[in-house]
Amino acid sequence: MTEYETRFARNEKVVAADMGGETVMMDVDKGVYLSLNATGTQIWEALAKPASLPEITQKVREAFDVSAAGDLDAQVSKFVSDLKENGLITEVK
Amino acid sequence: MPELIDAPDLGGLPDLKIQAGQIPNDLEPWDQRDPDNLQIFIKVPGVLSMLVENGKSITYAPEKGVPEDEIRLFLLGSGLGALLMQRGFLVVHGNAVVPKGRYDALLCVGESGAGKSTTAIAMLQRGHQILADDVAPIDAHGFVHPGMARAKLWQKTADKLGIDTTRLARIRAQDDKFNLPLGAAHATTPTRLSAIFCLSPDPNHKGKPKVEEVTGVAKFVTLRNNLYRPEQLRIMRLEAGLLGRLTALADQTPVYRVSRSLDGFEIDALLDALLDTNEATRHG
Repeated sequence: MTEYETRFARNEKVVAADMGGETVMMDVDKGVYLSLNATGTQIWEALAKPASLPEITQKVREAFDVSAAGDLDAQVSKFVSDLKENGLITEVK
Repeated sequence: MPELIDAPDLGGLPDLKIQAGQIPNDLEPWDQRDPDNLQIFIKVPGVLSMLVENGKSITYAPEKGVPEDEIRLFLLGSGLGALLMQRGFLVVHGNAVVPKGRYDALLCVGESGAGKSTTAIAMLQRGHQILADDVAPIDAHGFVHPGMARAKLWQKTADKLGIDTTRLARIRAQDDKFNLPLGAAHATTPTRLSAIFCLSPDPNHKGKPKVEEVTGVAKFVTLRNNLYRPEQLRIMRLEAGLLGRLTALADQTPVYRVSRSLDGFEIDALLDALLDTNEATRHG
């Protein structure tokens, strides 16, 4: 399986709520809060159902004017790996 | 209980039972209990144990020889606080004031010693009403519900504001803190929250208090950091379920940080700043 086929899913123990276009999240088990900016929120939205990196990138591309955003693939990939490191999402086999 | 107001007689069963009684000592560990059965066991060493259940009852077992006023302090503090959480209120640690001629409430939060209580009592001296002192329950519609019919008054606050405490009853014998009955100065109907002010004593701040609007996720953080006994929410596993309520309330309510100097505490300037800012929210 290549990196592009791996799908990611939200950790069910994380609850999230909208706060004026940003997202506040809480890891229920750890009792830890995190917040996401507007782009992070869009990526989180794209993960409402398990999704792969190309699928997430496509959704972000649709939501924002990303013409000046540089390498969007790399940015999404970095952000998704941050989410994973923080236990907010998991890889789906 | 002198701290409470009389409820209209609605007939039928009582809404809340506070009773002395046996507390079973074989409660299931909290993480193994039926989540629909909301229970919290609170022990205050040297004072009492309480079992607060389903937003309906508080059973308490006082330790020997503890005076009644001390028992009441904890029943009406931690006990009632937990019960309100079970009823779905966001319980904020702060003082809510209804300014004269307005139909909304401003809420002062901040750490111990930030000046919440002094601010509320100074408001009262200017003829505004206190809705809730120290524990402010907020419902799902953003209304603050009335708290106790008293304000807690420290001797040093009384000295600063020129209030004579010789006729007031102490909250408990060992503290220099008094029960100030609110009487007609108690706002007794649920009132829409108009603004939250986080009082922040600042060693670098000089002169008049400065009001700055808090924006974005920091509004949420301000509200979250000033919840009443958040560890009780966590123990009852209510925290995650309240996240949406917290963010919605933080989103819809203007939040301000009020910096003030440590010395001097220019109370009149502070009150003016709060009231003027609150007045401006009406048109905002």
